[in-house]
This record gives sequence, C-alpha cells and structure tokens, in this order.
Amino acid sequence: MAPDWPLVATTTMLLTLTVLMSSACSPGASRAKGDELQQLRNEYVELQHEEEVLTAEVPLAKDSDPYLVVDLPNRSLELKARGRSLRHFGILEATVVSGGEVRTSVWSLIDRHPLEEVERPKIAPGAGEQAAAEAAKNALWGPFRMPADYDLICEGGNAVEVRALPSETSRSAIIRWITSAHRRSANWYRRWRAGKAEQRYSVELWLAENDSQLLFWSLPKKMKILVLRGSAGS
Amino acid sequence: MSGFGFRSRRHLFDRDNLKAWILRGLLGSAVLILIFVPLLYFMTRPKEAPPAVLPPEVAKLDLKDLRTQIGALQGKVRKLAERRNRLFPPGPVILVDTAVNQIYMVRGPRVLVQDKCSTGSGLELTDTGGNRSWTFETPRGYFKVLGKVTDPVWIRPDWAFIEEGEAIPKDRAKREVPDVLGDYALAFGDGYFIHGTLYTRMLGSSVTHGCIRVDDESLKKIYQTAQHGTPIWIY
Repeated sequence: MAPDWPLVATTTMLLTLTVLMSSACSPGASRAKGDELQQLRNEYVELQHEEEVLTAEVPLAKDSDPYLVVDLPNRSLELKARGRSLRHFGILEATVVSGGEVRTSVWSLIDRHPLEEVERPKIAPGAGEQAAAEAAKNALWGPFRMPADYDLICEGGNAVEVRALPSETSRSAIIRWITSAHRRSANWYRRWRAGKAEQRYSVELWLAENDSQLLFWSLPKKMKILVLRGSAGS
Repeated sequence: MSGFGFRSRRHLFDRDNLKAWILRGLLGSAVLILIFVPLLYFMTRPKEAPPAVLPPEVAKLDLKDLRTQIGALQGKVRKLAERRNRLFPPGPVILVDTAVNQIYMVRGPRVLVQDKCSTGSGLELTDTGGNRSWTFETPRGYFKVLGKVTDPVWIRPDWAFIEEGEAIPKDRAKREVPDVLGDYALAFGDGYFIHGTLYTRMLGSSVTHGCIRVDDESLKKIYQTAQHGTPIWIY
C-alpha cells in the first residue's frame, strides 16, 4: 500500500509547527515561572518581616503605655498604643550611624535632647488668664514651635537621631534643595566635630520637617521604642 | 616708590589691573563652584533605600516549598495580628490629639464622640520671686479615668492667683470657684481633668493650663459613657 504522501506531508508540517511553537514559547514559560518564583520570594520576605514585627510588637502592646515603632526596612515610624496607630510618619532616609547592623530590639527612651533649645512663651505674674488665653490664641505654641532636629536618648547608650528636611509642600524646589544641602552639611559637620560616636547603636532618621516636629510634640517623656532590624545602608 | 611695598592707589585701580583682578576673581569663583557644588551634591544627595537582599534560605526554596511556607506564614501572621488587635480595649476609650485639639471617644472601631477640645497653652509662668514656675502643658501618654464629678468646683491652685496678680489665700474656701468647669469633670491624675468650659469660642485652640476643655454636649456623652479606669491616650 502506497503511503498517502499529502497526509504524511501535512502531519509532518503540523508536528514541526508544534515543535517550533513549543520551543518558541518555552523561554516565555520559563520566564513566567521565574517571575512567579520572584514574586513568591518577595511575598515570603514581606511575610517574614511582618511576622517579625508582630512578634516583637505583641509584648509591647500588652502594656498600656504608647510605644514607637521604627521600621527601618519599610522606612516608617508609628506611634502606637495597644496595637492601634495614633500617628504615622514616613522616613525619608534612615542610616545606622554606629554599631553596625541593628537587630530587632526594644529600646527605652530616657531623654529627648533637642539640638537647639526652643524657648517657651512666658506670661508675667498678674497678666491674668485672659492675657494668657490671648497669647495662646496668637498661636505662640504648637507643633510648629517644636525642635526639628533632636536625639532620642535611650538606655544602654543607644540613640535615635531625628533630623529634618524641608517638607515637600514648603517653598520652591530650589529653596528646598538649598535648605536640605545646608542641613545635611550642618549635620555632617556636627558629626565630624563630635568625633567618634559614644552610642552603642545610633540610628539617624531623616523626616519631613513638620513630621519631625509633630513627633517631638507627641512623645511622652518615657517610652519604649521598637527598632526593627536594619544595616548601615538602610 | 620702588622695590616691594605698597603700590599707589592709582596703580591698584588702573583699568588694566582692575580687569585682571575681576578676571582672577571670576576664575577663582568658577574653580570654587566647580569643586564645591559637585562635592556638596554628592555629600548631600538623598540616599536611596538599598534593594532588599534575599536571605539564602529563601533563595534555596522552589515554587512548591515557597507556596507551602507562605501558607504557613500567612496563618502565623493572621493569628499574631488578631492577638495584637485584641489587646486594644473593647470598651470605651478616650483619645486626645493635642496637635489639632480634637477629642475622640471610641469603642473598638466605632467613634462615639469626636469634637474640638482645648489643651495646654505651653506657656510658662514664674512667680515674682522667681522661686516657682509652672508650665501649662497637657501631659502626653497613657492615663485612665480616676474620678467622675458632677457640678465640679474649681479649687484654684497657687498659679491661678499669681497669674491674676492676687495674694494667695490661706483659707481653702477662698480658693473654691463653682460653675467654671461645666457640669461634669473626669479626673485623670495630678490635678488634670477633662471638664467643660465657659470659653467655648476658644475650643480648638491650645489655651488651657493643662486640663482638657470640652463642649458641654460632648462632655455629657463622654461622662456618661466613661467609667472609672476608662483608658485615656493623649498624644
């Protein structure tokens, strides 16, 4: 029986086409697999971080005192009480200045040290409550009067150094750049003058100016600070 | 004048010399700008967050293992989050945001009361002798309702007399002032209260001596809902 040549030719062509198509598609398929793997890895890392945060936070949230969560990898700062967020700030930049890699740990705030003292408005004896109310009404006091650059000194020689950059909405871009450059240079000079840091661990956080002032305004005198792991390049 | 020494003023400012000085000045400034601007830029440029480094143990996992591990982690995270969320009191809670002078009473996710309030003015008063001083600030942190009073009477402290320029009385009765703290007051320690006010126009401003002043209507709701021990967070 003679082979059905047209049928053989068609089958061969179809097979070749299938092989060609599958070979053409295989890099895409492996790429898709690679993308999925990467996505899952990222999800895994995020979940691991979330687990680490929650594991460290639950013991703090058992206490009624407010606490501060400094999340170096996610660059966020949160004032919380019993697990509920009271205030949330974004960290523009975070650097571990001394001590190398910071492990997730709880620091106890013992003092706040503003780099420039802020003078409180005063009322004279005999000025009367109405005068005091008038002075207050003229907005002599508020978060905007708080220091923007300060150190949160913690037990065991650790410190969180909060520094401010001009807020995005304030002034023009060029003025913001000049102000930022000035503040960074001043900070760099201050650090250079101070020489070797005494702190065991020192974390430098750059916040927007209004955030930095609002944080200072909101902090109780003593509190726990949960610092979530980060390295020198955080 | 020959030799080295001072050149005559005329020589210093003659046309060619002046041109040379200006040229040198411009050249010097350009060199300084060329050196310092890039230096300042590199010194002060914003630092990008470093890319996340994949832990080696994660890099070893294949798709199947990753999916299993992620499922387990999601379960752990959910449980931990539930555990943390349960730590927030289920009953009524008072929150005071001093930055915007707002008071909230919440129960779980529900907001029962939200209104303007007045908090500490931040002013400092020193007596004439300079021996004693007071800072009129609302304290921050965690407190709880320690006492509930109806028709509270204000016992004027020493600073209230000093502020008004009056002599401090020895007789306690002379310190008592009724009808200035509103209908209700909630004590939260160290002489601080959440109370009513005559100065309703000042609500929303930082004007008090440290106490938290609230409008009559909101105060009534807060007073009726709060119990001894109701948590207060001031921030």
